[in-house]
Amino acid sequence: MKHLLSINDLSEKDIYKIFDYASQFEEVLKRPIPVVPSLRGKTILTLFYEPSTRTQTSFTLAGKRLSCDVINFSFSTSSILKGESLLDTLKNILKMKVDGIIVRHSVAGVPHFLAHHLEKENIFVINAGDGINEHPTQALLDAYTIYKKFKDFNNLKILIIGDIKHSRVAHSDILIFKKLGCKVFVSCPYSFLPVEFEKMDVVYLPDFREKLSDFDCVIALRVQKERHNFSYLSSIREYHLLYGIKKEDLNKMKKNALLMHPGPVNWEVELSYEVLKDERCVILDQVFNGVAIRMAIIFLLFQEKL
Amino acid sequence: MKIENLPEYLLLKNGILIDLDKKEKREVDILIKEGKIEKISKGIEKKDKFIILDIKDCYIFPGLIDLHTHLRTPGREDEETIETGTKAAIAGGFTKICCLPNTEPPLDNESLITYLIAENKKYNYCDLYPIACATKRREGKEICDYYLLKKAGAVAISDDGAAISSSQVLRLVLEYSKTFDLPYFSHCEDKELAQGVINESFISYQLGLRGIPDISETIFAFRDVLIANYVKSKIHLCHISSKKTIQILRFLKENNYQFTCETAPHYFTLTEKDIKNYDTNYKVNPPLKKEEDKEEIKKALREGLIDAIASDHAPHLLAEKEQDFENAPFGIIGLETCFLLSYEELVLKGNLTIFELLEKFITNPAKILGIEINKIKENNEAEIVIFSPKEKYIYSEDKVVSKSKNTPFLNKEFSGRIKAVINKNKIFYF
Repeated sequence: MKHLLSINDLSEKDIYKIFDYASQFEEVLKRPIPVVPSLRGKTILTLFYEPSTRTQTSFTLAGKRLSCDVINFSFSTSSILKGESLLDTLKNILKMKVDGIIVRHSVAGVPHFLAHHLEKENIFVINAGDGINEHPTQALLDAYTIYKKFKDFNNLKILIIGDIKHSRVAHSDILIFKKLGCKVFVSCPYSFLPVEFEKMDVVYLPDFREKLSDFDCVIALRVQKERHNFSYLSSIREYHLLYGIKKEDLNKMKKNALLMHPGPVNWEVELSYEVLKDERCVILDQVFNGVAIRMAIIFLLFQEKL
Repeated sequence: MKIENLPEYLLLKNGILIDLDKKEKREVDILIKEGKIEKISKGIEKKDKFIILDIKDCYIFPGLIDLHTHLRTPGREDEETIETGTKAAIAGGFTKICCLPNTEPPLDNESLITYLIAENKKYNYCDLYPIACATKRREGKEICDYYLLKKAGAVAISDDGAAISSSQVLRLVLEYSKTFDLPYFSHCEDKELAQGVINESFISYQLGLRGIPDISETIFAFRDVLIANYVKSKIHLCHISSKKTIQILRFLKENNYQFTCETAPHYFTLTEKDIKNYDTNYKVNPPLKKEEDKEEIKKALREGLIDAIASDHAPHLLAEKEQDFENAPFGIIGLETCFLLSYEELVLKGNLTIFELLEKFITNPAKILGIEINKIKENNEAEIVIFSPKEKYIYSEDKVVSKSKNTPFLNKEFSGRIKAVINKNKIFYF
């Protein structure tokens, strides 16, 4: 069975297929009773080794809207420390007969590890975020949000601001936007750039403000304070001053541009609270689109159409 | 693997002796009587009592010396024991091995050294040369009793795996060890900079794994050689893996700084590009680097800048390796593949002659340790490797002698095969 571990697993055609199904499922979500019976009798498990509210809820709802049974497994740090190995957890899950696993883990490659050990089973794995590696469903919902607005990715200019080096959202976003034909720009201090970033084929802007009027979409990344052993920031004050999007920045942006953020926002860090009122700020639309996108992914993986 | 006591007379027929002194190959017969070389010459006539082993086309050379084996004893006998580790050494052509002190507890007192040597004598497959800790508990703070350690049998000191971060402590280690003429084996790694699991590059970014900058090795290699030369003490650098380190070492050598260094076969046969699908059998420390690093290592081997090739044999349980990439331990087993990989990559591809290769496996390691080579000559104990350069050999799982099987070279087909090893009045067949 096919898995969704990385944006690299998807062709351009796959991505548009996911968008197509997502827009159909959006219709379902708008119904008074927003459920279809497509996956009755199927069971998926969300296996979250890292705390998450919206991603786990979004997957859970996506499954339930398709009439799939969804079981949520959450691990507190202490229970991981008690030491059941990943492989043991997986073997236990197999005995419980689930059909799909949605996994989030603080270590890169864990979804790939599970998929590798499920080679002979008819169970799919969806990567819901692995360490600093990837978060493909977030990238798909980001791209879908842009797609709904522009209907065409060619030559769209997208700016991503924040910790490019440690953000799994940025990693997957860059992969999907480039695959779809966008021009990708990043802005951050050098300490947030990966080494050999020139191989990423993106444009680095030390100061994005000069070019703000060029972009069709600006994505601000969450400052991942929890992901670092020590502080990568001089101060929140200076970060906000240099990389935070404020009202005056919005004024320089195109009238039809989008301002996005994967959430949860640290207000007055990545974004000023006042930008939420602007209609170009589509953070909450992203959340809605996320459910539709995840329904499409789960559905298509079950149908083996990816 | 079969182990037998030598017959009273064993006659090796038609072998090709690799003479390391004269740098020539000669076809000879070798007669071994009760474990000792009785006669070396062409066409030794067969007598009744002789057991004959026809080794046509096979190379004969002295047992290899490994400068870098993790034997896991004491403390982690679930991963490797002295018995399985020394047997794996023999299977790889090594008759003398150094074991590193990062055991549990670490080898920081003479009783552990005495224990290891006594334990090895029980099996008596090969010679064991323990390397003791440079500092107590390998903490990089207080130096150990080098006199007592050496008296018990330690041949060098090292905090392998835990580089001494304080330059002042390192200076003290080097000055004190000089008193007893013990070389210091340096694991060059600036731990504070090296907070990752693979080489830092575009590939580490693509895989989302935390990267270790290659300069973390270079910086400490440079520092350690400078300090050792400042106090005029012997230093040996372990498992050199990066181009930048080589460049700095080349500069130091040109300026008459004294040091020796080694690399391991995976640094001239694999690169970071081989790390596919988060396979933890490619997780080693120092991490695999780029094509250009691999080429530079080979160049340095050709130049003679790198003195020795060591296995960095690091056994780990399947249960430890078969987990996520961050948490899986560093290291792969290497005793059994070390020479085969080197022969294939260096001799068959024209980087080194067989004589130059054996210098890196025998002559130079012996010099670094200050030990005698048991040469293949009349009246010496037979300590002989019989290597067939023309045979193919598939290193399948059932062939693995080590207690652990963590190697990226499983099921690889090698050009060349170690057919037998004669040592300590025993013959080992494979």
